[in-house]
Amino acid sequence: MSSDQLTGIKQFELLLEKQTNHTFTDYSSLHRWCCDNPESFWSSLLSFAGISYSGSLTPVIAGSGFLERRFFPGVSLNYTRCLLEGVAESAATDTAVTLVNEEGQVVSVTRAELTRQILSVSTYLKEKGIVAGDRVVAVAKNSIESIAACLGCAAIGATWSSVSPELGASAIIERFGQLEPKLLFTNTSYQLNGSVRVIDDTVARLLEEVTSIEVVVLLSDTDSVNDLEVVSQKWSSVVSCSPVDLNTLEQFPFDHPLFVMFSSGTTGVPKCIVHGAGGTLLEHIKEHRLHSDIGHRDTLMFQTSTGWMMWNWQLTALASGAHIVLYDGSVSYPEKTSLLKVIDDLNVTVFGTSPAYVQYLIESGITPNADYELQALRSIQSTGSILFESQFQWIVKSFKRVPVQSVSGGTDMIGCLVLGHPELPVIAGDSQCISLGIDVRVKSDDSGDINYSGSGELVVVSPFPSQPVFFWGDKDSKKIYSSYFEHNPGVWTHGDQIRITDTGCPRILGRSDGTLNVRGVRIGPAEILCIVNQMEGVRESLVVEQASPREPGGSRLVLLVVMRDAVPLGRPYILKLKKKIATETSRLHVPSIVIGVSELPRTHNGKLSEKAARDAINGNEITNVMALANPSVLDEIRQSVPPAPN
Amino acid sequence: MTDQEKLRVLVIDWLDDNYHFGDTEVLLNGDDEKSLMQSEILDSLGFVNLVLFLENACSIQIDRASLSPENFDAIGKIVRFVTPLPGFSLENVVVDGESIVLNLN
Repeated sequence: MSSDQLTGIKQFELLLEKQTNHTFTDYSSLHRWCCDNPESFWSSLLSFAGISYSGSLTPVIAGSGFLERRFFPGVSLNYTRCLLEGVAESAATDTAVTLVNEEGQVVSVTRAELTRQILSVSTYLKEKGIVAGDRVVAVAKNSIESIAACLGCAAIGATWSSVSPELGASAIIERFGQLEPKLLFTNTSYQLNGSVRVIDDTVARLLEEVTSIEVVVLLSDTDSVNDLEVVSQKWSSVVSCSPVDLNTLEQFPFDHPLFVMFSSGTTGVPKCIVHGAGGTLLEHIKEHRLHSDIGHRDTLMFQTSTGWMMWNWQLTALASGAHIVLYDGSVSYPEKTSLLKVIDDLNVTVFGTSPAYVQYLIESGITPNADYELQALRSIQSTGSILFESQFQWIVKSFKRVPVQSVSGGTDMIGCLVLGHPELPVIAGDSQCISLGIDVRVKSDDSGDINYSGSGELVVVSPFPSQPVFFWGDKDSKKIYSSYFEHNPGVWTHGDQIRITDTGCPRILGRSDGTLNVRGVRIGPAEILCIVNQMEGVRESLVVEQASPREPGGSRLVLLVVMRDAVPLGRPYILKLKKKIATETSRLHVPSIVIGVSELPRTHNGKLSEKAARDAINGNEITNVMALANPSVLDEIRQSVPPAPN
Repeated sequence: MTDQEKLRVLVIDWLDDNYHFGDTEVLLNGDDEKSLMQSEILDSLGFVNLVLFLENACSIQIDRASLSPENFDAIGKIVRFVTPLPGFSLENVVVDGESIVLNLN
């Protein structure tokens, strides 16, 4: 068997065996060795990736501990160059990216054309005075222009952060306002379910409140914003700039800030999570080539938007030569099966989706394999929330009999902690394996011991390259410390509950903290509560998830509100409240149920207990009842909140 | 109030609760035969949720194969389609002032 007939992970395993004279009996032994020998593992992976860099591979890791560690401090690279040059010259005419919108219109660019556009964007940014380290932000549709803008920005070392145009103005300002960006790429409208939604008011408000923005680039020539006080440029002018030379792009340190992602805002304003170029690149290449076996013969389509880390994740697949398919619009318009048609028409080989979409197909009575050939499709990945066993079984029976890979990780490491493996069996409900070289363990809820297997809190016991390089504006590292290390000093606490079998097979069981997950989108309670608590008449409120198996995503939001005296929580008020939440954030943030209660559960030191409310609503045992000052309120909550439909 | 009238209010309330927050009647503009899809009152994901809601609220099972624009794409069509289904009942539904309240406890 020639080496290119082997899976990526097999090729890498053979390379490691040759380099180390070590024999790996199975994936668990390979994973354990990589965790125990991080210097050898990460440097071998960097060589295996075949990307261009300069400098020395040693030391592989400098500093000790999660916050002090630095991977490859002697290495410099350019993320964009690594994505664009990694495929043979003959591939210049291959299709790099195809965009399909909900109207079925298809636009493609070759690698050569995409490269030209990206490098023209770089020229434009330089002309506008953007330099390495500057922040460039985008309110952008899932489009080829967004990819060119992002990679043009990364090419000159500027730091990119994007959100979807569906996000409300307040939420965008709350995020971008922290970054003091110099330049904004934006769409001023988008299409959903056949209608055009104009967001020029949102853009105008953003420019009014984030005054650091000096230049606006409109990502579509049909976009416009009236009465701008800043310079604006149309996309066609930007990409007509003379491109910079790919081979002379400056290389930046391994940890150079590449992307800023945002936390969900569980405890306040969303935190700005800064990811480094090298860590992002290396982690994604590992996940694409080793865990997903993605290569230049693949067409990858992941259902995502520019505001989710999977958008950045799919972008890096260019480094492995894959053809990326973007889908913009509603997945169920104009036909219920619009997205399935794209998989068929464009010969998608790896389809990434979410349990919410799978549940939509199930509940709609759609049987993909009855209506579509899906001939090229060879694996289905799912992420965003838990993919239940019955959904695995439905996919295999009604979608296609291919490996179903439930992957999970997130914004915090811009990658995955548990994911697929091209050669391991799929067990319904489980992920196939732990990400290679990431030392994921279980902290027992009972004993507090950290073990290789069992159920409990998901922790990572050794630093890894794709952990955040820092949080923006967090000069004393207090925010990053409290986010990952405060609960269990010395290890990374991810905030998920996990079960790992003795054979190393992981299953994510749910979130440990108060983060809400609605149809695969993580929402911080604070995003909702800060709006509710500002409403006239509201004394305080709490929002929790209620398990609701028949809802897409498996849960719904319940908002508990305590009103001030004499202000009734009537239906007109509830509708007004819901409308305000939808306008200020998004419809996904709107609670399904709003209930007025006399008080909220509190601990003896006055802190609201989300956990007690959640347990009461879900009919679970209240494990912290002794810690509550007012446990009797739980009966009122139980009686007030209707059970979810079965 | 007849079952058909109650069901109509129930659907409007559900649309208000989940999608239009008090504006559904304005969007319908007095036309119960207006296409919900074409007028963007509901998308196909929303239809799935509406079907689940009606099954729960009215104690019925809706055959997914029977879901078509002919019988489900307007308030009037939904009311006419759902009320004759076997097992249809609004026992869980009570009128509370101007709106319908589902009593599912």
